[in-house]
Amino acid sequence: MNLLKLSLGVLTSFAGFLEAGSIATSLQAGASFRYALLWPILLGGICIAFLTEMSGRLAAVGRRPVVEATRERFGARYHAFAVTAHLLVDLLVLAAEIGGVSLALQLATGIDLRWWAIPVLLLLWLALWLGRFEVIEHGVAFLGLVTVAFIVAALKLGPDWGAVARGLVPHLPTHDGARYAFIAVSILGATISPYLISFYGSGAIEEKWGIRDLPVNRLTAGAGMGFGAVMAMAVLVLGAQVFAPHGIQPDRYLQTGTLLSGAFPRFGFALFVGSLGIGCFGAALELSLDTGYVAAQAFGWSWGEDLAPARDARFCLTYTAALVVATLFTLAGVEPMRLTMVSMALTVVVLPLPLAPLIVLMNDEAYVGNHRNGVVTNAAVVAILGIALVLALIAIPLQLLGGS
Amino acid sequence: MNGRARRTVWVLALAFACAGCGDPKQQAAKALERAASDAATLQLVMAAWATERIPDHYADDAVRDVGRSLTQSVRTVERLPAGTAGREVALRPLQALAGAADRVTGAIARHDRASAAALTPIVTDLELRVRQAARAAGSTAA
Repeated sequence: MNLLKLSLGVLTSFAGFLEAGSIATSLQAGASFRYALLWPILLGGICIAFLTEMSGRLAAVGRRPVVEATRERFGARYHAFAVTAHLLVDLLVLAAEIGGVSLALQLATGIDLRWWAIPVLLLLWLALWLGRFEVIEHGVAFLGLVTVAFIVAALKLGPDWGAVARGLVPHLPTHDGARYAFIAVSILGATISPYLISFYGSGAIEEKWGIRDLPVNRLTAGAGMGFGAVMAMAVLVLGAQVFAPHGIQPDRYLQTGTLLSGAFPRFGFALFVGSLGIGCFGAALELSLDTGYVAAQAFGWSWGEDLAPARDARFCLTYTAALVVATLFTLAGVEPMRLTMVSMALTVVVLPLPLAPLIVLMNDEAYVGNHRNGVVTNAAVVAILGIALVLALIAIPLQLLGGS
Repeated sequence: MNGRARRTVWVLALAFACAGCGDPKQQAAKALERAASDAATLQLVMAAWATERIPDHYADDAVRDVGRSLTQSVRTVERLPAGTAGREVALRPLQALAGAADRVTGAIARHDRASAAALTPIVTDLELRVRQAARAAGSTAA
């Protein structure tokens, strides 16, 4: 087993986990319900670990990403529907991430986030245009280690461990049921994100994974997503420790700049700004690439971050267009946290579409040979699909009843 | 899409739109909840600024943001018909809170930490009154 590959994979998953969606939903959960909503993060973390493992296995054995295999196996009609929904959600989440980076720059400089939208767009585009997949993936992951500050701060402030343990078990709320359910659904939307699944598989193809990489895949998916979930839990715990006692329900990022100042009086503000900016920048890179991957795999174009742009022009054009469209939201002055919460709810609505084909694909010898799903993984994917279907039905009504 | 499916989509869309509008009392309760949260944010930002844990420009941005949100809450409550339960009780502390946020903004602009500190107990008292009004208006979260 290649230890370097394994550690880089875990690091990438771990450090790339925290972005606008998980920060916003975890903060709102902690501020409004203290530790009571830790369980959706745990549940979402388990689900995404199973799903990314399957996506990686399909790529390593079948040499196809999920989107391409879905097109082949289910035909153009179903596929067109699923891909359109996937791309729309990618676009909205990308808009939220660009807003998050711009907001971090506003926090750092005092200059309104709308002025930062175009520079952020150019920086993202240049990184994608000039960078290679490994450099982008691992560079962002190493920078993303700054987000470990959330875990250190949560430990430093000393949470109520009994309440933390109770929060890991699903239970009904004592007040404000609609909002509790809405935030729980949003957390699941932020965690079980379709882009994470397709990006992971496409990344495995970029890195030319084969059958020998299956153990690495299993450990990367399990440990990486597990550590990532711990990071999101740390943000929730901080929300419970810093905002809940004051009765603050943050629905705008500008309210959250003091999150780390209690734990780190001198550098807390800078650490928060750095974590928000780097986390969102990394996610924006992954989402932009994912729009290119999904479109290219859907239409059978050539794709690959390591190819020269002239060799996969339509792939590059897709992520360029996605970046431009997503930037318009920030230019229009849409508050990033509100956009994030809406995009998380919409993610949940379309979630069953990209997940459903996995049940068939991961049991089809033509795609995964002898490495088909076992009883446990099949039970897991059926359970995840069941959860996704229920969430898809209730997400929009909950957005209206419980969204801020 | 056939006629029946189209009608169902329209009915669902209308139902969601109506649910989004909500009744005025519920809107006022939400505005008061948000105002209470804003008042608490204001105090946290003031405390962090007083101890130099956050830079001036962020304190300024955050307090202006709170001020804008409070003005929006005032407008929401003002739109309630005169005589609506809780309207008069809510309006005065909300307006006072919006005024206090403006004064804090001024103090930050002048780097006048003493004036900002003097405003802290006033904001604390107003936050309590807004939370009481929110409870009276039917909020479960305040």
